[in-house]
Amino acid sequence: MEMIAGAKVGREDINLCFEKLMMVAAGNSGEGVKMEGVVITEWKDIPMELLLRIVSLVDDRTAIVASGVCSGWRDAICLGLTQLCLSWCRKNMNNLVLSLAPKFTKLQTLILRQEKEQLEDNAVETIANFCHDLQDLDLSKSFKLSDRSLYALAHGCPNLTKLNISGCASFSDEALEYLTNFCRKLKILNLCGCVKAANDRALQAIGRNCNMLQSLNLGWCENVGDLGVMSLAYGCPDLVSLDLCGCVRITDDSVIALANECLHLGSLGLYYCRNITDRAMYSLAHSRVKNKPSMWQSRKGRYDEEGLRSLNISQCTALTPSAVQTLCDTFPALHTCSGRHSLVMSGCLNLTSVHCACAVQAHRTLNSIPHTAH
Amino acid sequence: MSEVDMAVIKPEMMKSYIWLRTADGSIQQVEQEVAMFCPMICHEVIQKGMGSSKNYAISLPQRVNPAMLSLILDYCRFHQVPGCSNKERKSFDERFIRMDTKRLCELTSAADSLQLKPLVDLTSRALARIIEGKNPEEIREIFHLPDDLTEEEKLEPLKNTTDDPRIRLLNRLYAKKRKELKEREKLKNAEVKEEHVDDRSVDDLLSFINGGNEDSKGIKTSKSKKKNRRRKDQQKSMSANETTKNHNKEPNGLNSACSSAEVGQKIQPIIGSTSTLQDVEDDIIANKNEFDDADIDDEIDPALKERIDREVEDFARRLNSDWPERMQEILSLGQERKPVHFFT
Repeated sequence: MEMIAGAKVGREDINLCFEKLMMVAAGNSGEGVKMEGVVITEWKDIPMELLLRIVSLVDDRTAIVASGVCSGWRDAICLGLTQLCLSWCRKNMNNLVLSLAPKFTKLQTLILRQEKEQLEDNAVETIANFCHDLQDLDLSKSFKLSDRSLYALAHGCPNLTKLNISGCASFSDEALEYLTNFCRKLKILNLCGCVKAANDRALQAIGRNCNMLQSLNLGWCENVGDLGVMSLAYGCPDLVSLDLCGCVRITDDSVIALANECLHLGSLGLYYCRNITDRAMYSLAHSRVKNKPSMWQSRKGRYDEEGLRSLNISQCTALTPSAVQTLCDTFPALHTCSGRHSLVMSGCLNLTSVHCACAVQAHRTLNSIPHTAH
Repeated sequence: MSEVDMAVIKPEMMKSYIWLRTADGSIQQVEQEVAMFCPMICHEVIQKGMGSSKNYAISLPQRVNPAMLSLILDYCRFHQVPGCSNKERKSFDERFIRMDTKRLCELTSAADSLQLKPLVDLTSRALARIIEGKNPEEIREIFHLPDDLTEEEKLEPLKNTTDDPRIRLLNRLYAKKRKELKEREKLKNAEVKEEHVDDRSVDDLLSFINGGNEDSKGIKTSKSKKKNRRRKDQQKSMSANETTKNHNKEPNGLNSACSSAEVGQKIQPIIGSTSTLQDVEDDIIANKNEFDDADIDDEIDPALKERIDREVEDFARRLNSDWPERMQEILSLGQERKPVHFFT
């Protein structure tokens, strides 16, 4: 649960609010709106920026309560609140969203991950109708949502850069495709478990429309195939992290496309991708070597110093030690040592001999015969 | 003589001072290193060359009145000393912000206008702590805010924010408490006294009470425990604890309630103290009508709930009807079987 440390605030229209509040204060106390020599006696004379700063320090529930204290606070918080998390709701999240979304129109981050599914389409539609600045939306485990929600989001939240709909198994590929036509700024997309939505058709749409994509989670989306991943690779050159765990249909062709097109790839998950063979490993290594700039070329541009730093090939039983060792040697950031274990090979019993450079070094140091000084 | 005077230059005369003027017109001088701790004053001195004399006193923002200024200068005076450890600074801060809410607000505002970020952070956090967990009515009261929202606007989010598990748990427990109270009242008024054969051994009873009490110590710091376990523990121990706590001041079971004379008197406070529990409940949530038991208890395993309910009622009945006689019995039993074990 992403519990942000309180609701965050922005600075838009703060002055407006402040003015209004000062007028309210002056009106109430019966004095003229004279700024000179006004002694602060009331909380409401404090600038809204301060109030918002204080609200940003309290938990989300208190922030919501604070918005119902008086009109001045309500206005300030409604104009200033940019982050909200409602994951602590057990029963009434849907009603809460229905009543809050029209008020908190400046929200940029909204976390609605549920322990117990409560969220319904009408709530998401309300969000889409009012929160047009939304950039980060977490709807994970919203089992009750249907395609209606995706269509609503497409129309209402075009600025989305981060979307998490993992676990929403009822979304269809058509609706997801529709969304990508409008939400082209997506950088982080989590489709883990979206079996119906994440297939080759949707991936082709993503490759066409979401060219800024950096992170994609397709875990357990068993309908994903080579066609989709290849479209993705060609369309999203900035891809840094891709999780294909459980995508059992993909073959070496997917990995080869990724190796050739996504030169910033840092993290790749191929857990249970049984069709992967040494070809894929060699292609990754080869691409690295091929794209390494010579001494005279500028290091800027597409070459990533670190390269692949995390790779999960658990249960990829077709791989052999020589190929994987080559890979490990090519990418210095891949580690098998216990401290920084990033090359995960569980279930690959024939790969136990593969070691990263530091593991070998440690081994050597242990075994070295001490020379006498003289 | 005068040469000697001139030779003896007092240290105070070597210090340089900054002149400050507050919005009400009063002017004062402050040691330079203290005043320069405030970014706004620092800016005025360095960029505009102000503050060197009375005529060129730095005009402070109107949010800074003399009282607040002296507080802020106290803060600066302590913190600008380079030598203090973090621990010392922290304890100074904690003592420093102990003031009434109104002054805290003024101080926050004043510190903000002087751009003194550390103090703004400190006071903001203190104010945040004050607001946390309160309902709108309380917040309005504390900060003297107008009550200018419509009923509809006020009520709605409150109704839905009862999703907070802590609040719901508390309400569950209070509902249970109310039930217990009603029951006890009923039993008190009953004509027929129920005879109970206590076939549980003294040890069982003791361990039940003490086991409940041990958990009760955990209640105070229970926020870190896992929710489920905590819920069950709290359910069980809170109910056991409440009945025992009410007749003992210390959470140590029968040990302190040994004299039967005391015990009889302690029955009275039980009824008195539980009425304040209801007030507390009202304070927490304005709309307590929202909580009927029906939708509250949907998450506890029904078998466990039944067991807990049974234990609570059992104990309540036992406690209420024949407590003095029961106590005597238990104590005399204990005296026979074991040496003076639970007398303090």
